[in-house]
Amino acid sequence: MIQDIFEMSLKSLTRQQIRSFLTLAGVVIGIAAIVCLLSIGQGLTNSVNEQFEQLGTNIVYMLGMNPLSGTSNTIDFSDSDISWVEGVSGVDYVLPLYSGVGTMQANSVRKNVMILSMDLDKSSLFEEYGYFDVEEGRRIEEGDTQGILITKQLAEDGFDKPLNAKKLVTINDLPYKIIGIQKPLKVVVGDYNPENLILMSESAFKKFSPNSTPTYLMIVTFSREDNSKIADELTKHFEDKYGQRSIYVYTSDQLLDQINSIYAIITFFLIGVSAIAMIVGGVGIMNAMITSVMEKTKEIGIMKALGASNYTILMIFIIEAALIGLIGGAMGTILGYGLSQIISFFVSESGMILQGVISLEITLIGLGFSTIVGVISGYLPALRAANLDPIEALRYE
Amino acid sequence: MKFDGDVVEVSFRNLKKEGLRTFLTLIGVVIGIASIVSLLSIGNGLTLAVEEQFESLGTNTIFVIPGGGMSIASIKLNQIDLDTIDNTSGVERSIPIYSKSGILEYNQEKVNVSINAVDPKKAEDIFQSTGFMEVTEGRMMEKNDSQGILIGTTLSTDFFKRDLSLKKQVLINGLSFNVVGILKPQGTSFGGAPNMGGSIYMSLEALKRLYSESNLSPSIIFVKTYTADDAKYSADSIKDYFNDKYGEDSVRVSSSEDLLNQIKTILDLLTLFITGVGAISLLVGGIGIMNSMVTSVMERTREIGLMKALGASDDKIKSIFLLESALIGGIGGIIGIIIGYLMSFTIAFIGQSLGYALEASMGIEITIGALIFSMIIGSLSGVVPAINAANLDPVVALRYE
Repeated sequence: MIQDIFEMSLKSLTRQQIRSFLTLAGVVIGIAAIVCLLSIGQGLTNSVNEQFEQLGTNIVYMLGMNPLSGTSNTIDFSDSDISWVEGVSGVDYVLPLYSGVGTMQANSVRKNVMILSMDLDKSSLFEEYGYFDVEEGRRIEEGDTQGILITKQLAEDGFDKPLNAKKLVTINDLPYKIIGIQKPLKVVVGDYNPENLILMSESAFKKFSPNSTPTYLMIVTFSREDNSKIADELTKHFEDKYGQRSIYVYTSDQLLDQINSIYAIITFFLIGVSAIAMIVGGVGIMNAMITSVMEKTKEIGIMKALGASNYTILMIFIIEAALIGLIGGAMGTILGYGLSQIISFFVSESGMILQGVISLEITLIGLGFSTIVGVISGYLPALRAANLDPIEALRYE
Repeated sequence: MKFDGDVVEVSFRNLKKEGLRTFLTLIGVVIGIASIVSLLSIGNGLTLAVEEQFESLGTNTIFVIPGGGMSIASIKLNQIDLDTIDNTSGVERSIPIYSKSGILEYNQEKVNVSINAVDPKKAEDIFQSTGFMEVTEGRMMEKNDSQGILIGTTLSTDFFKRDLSLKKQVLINGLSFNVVGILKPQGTSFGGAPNMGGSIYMSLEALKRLYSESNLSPSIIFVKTYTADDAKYSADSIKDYFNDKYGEDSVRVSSSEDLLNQIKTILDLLTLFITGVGAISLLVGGIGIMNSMVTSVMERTREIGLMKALGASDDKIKSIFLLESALIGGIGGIIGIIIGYLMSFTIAFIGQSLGYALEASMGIEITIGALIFSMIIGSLSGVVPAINAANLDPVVALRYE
């Protein structure tokens, strides 16, 4: 019996080929858009998560400013502040990060550059991240008080002629030697990647800018479970000392959650907009089913006269609509994955990390959503067919 | 191809006869056009809101930001630099703003605040028409006022257990100051700059009590030129001066038009992208039109045969079906435009009541554009079915069951 119903639904689909094809096309486009966006969105989230895992998740960050207060000024962390933080229970070690700007001169071109500095004996957590991988020359060490590492973009495009390792330059009229050229970092889409960046050791930075204090502190904890407790302790201590909203403390978990929720909102919004296309596709299914019911009025009359129940008729048309949804969904899912892989390819080519995700979840969402839309769109036309009066139906021209 | 009275009549009659199918096909177009129109309307509204904010600042403004906003530490500008800006041709006047942070203490509660120091006289002149630094309660500080400060409403009402009101005494980094005025709150545009509610303003004299002069350097300089045209040229010469003196990218110099164009480009790209995603639904709607036209041609095969037998030309048959699909597109477009605007204004209204400067705009370009777009989609979708209809062999068509 069920087999008969299926056969009939399939036959009716193949009979009206152009109509079935166009109705399918509507569903395919809608599902392809949804699957493609889901796949890309999931891919973005994955690459962010991976980067965080590389850096480690047992880190608490402390900034000397609070974006919520609307100020852009920083408080200066003193050496005693840093040693206080080191004494907090659960803290493994503290890595202060220094940043500044300077005017770099090479090949008689002067250019403003951003300088990042940290204690290179404690910077192991940046190693895995590829921060100190060099393409040319060697990596810098804490003992290099006059050696710098510069980005590839800056070396190639910053100063008329490309700069090589061992080149002598000046920054704010102090002499420095380029020891290495940094390998380009792979960044996540949307991430900020400064081009005019110079890395130097903490000892070099102390000479470059004697009075400077850290821009922010990376506080490495023994385990991520301690992160939030330590963050609370830091907030309390420093707000008592420097005032409410003077500092900003966040853990790597919080940061990750925040980024993930931003991606989720964007993905959700875009999927919402593309789901509109799916509604239009559903209306298309409904339209095709109404026409199909009308054309088969006589046939329905005969089936009823031969003893088919209302339920059988209802099922025939609902299954027909569900099949349109399912087949369209399957094709749309394949097309959507194809699109997301093509987009990932081009984004990766341009040096950013993106790998569109193919997952059971997304596939089930694509197939499930399209089938549900099919069934809902088919329900009314099917009800119309089931409720036809056989006598009237047989008389229909 | 001529659309004479007969053609129009036949097309309308057909649409009406197949009421339910026409209705569903219309819904497809309506949804598609409505989503495009509402997204464009909101996007345009956002751009307009940003433009308005800039215009209130004046299009003859240049911003000079040492360090290019690249990093927190930055290059220190000196008096010679400030004088050079003032003496650049086209420049009417300029005002440097010095920013520092400090700890404000009131009732034994401490808050970290951003301190902005300006020359009060210059500030009044330059910001007069902008609503920026407008005092709602109390007065502006005086020129050599080393005691008075202005605070924002947020700082006044939200930060302390007891409201920090006019004439109250506070400590900043341990020294005492008086609140002489409260500033009007600034509107925040959606996704725009954060409300500087935690800021206070004081005179340069007052700031010198807190920080020694050698530590002070302007964090931003507002420059007013005589005309908007001057802004472009003056910005270029100021940029050249700083590039020569401190190196490339050392100081960011942008005219308000530059900034506006940058923001507009980003907003336009966003709107375009989202509308593109929204346009997918119109594509599906177009396929719906094609589908219903194919069905309509098939159902009327006999009728077409009859018309041809009675002398209707191929062109006439073609125009009947083309007009029919264009009508679906056009009518769907009109309804979609109305619904789209209703949606965008509802969204803007909700956004505004949540405190965002969100606006919906109703532009002639959007309206006409959407209408033409929907009719083009309608006509294009009708082309193949109409040609099929026109090419029917009358003898075969008349025999069709």
